[in-house]
Amino acid sequence: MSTRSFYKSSDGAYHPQQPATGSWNKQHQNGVAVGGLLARLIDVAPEPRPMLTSRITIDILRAVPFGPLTATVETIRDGARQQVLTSRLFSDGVLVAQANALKVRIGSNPAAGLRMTEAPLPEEAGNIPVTRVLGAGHPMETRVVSGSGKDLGPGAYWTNFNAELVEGESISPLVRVVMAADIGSGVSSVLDSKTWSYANLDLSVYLARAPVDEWVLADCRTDTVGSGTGLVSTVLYDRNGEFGRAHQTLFINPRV
Amino acid sequence: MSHEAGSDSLYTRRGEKWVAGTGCISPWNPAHQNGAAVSALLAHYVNIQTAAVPMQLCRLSIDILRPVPMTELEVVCETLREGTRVQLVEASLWSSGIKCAQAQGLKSRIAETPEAPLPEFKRVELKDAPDRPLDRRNRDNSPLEFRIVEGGLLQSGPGKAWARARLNLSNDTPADPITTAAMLADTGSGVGAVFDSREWSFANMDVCLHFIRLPIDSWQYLESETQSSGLGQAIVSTRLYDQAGLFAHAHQTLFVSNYGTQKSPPEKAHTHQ
Repeated sequence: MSTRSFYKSSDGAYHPQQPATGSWNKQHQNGVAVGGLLARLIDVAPEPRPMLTSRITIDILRAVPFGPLTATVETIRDGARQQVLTSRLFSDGVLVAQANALKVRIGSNPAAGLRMTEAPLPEEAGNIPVTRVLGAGHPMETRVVSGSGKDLGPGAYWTNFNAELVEGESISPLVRVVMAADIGSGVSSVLDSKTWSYANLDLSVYLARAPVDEWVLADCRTDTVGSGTGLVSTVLYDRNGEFGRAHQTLFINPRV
Repeated sequence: MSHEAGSDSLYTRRGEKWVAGTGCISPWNPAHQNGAAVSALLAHYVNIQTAAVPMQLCRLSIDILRPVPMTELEVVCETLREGTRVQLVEASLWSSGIKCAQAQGLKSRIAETPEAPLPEFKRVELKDAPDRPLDRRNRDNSPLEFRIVEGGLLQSGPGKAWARARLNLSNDTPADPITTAAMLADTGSGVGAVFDSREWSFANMDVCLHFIRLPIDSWQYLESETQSSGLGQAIVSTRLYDQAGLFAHAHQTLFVSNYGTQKSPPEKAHTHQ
């Protein structure tokens, strides 16, 4: 299996490679890979005119087995102002995950409200891996700005993916930010992962623009009132400043 | 138009159909329904959809696919994913056979797990909040009552406000706290407005709520801000509180366009809700 791409595409299917291995269960695919693939399907769908993907909402409907996936894209609404699209992934014909996205035509208006970041740039921040699932060869490179893998509570990390999502294709800015936003639940955990599982059921990303380069900073916190779910809230930055928000719904359960 | 004037509810139920009242009129165009009314109706359907076990709503995502006319509406609700852990519900809103809006609701089973401290709730108390509406007009048929603490449509920038539903959802259904939250989430673009509504239209194309817990009060508090990189669109981020503190984050995507020099803004464009 390749360690340099998350998927290989052949025979009309996407075949998971080592970086797509599940972080909670190695028989499954991880959310970074599945979300990235759903975002890529939205990204490459034809647009009637230049558009920005302003929102993408990913639902993981069931655990995604580590095997080939087939894909469809449905246009829910097609217009000069907006497009609403749904991409879906199937494992052995069963729907396992879907994304709903809004694309809006690119226009012009005064900029407003986006803050600069005072965080150290990725070149200045410490290199700390978030995931140890695949050891040193994992293509997800992370630099810590605040928080740590050991301490509970909020965390802020720069993320870069030194790999292709689908072999032979570079990772597009939309795909990159969707993949980067998926680390929120891990870096801002409020529960001990030895005792509790807190896999995310969904991921929603809201974008004021696309990121300017390969490094995305996710500043994340988790909130839970103790009723079996949690909410991760993430502010997304690149080296030019703030450009988006993201949320994940967590399913909290005792670890078995 | 087929709507009924002077009602104390957003809609009148006529069999399976929902007839829009004057509280549903859009501030952007009087022939269309406002997003708060549409959001309330879809939130209601998603919330009452039965599940296999007791569940809580975690996410509500609403797409306004096209302008919703001031006509009778039908709502179709189906469960996309049924289970004892998670349920995914989809509701769609139809006018004369055309789908105008859709909502997705993600629900999860209720369980006892550890809690974590929530962010601090700094606010001006409701009793101390000025009796200041969202805009200059204080329409008797507005679906929401506001106490603007900061911002609103008269002051550009992030906004803060207490608000509650003034109208029932329908003659036999009150606007419960979840329905109210959905309506308020749709008004973040007004509370946190940054564009001059005489020059710019900034109607929202979607509204999404992410719940930390479900709200329990009729009066709710919003903190809203609008952010745009100048690409003809903007995102609004809203924090929603009740007396017990933060309960949800909400977002809207705005379609931002200039009215231009040839065309005046529509008569109602100075107000929102």
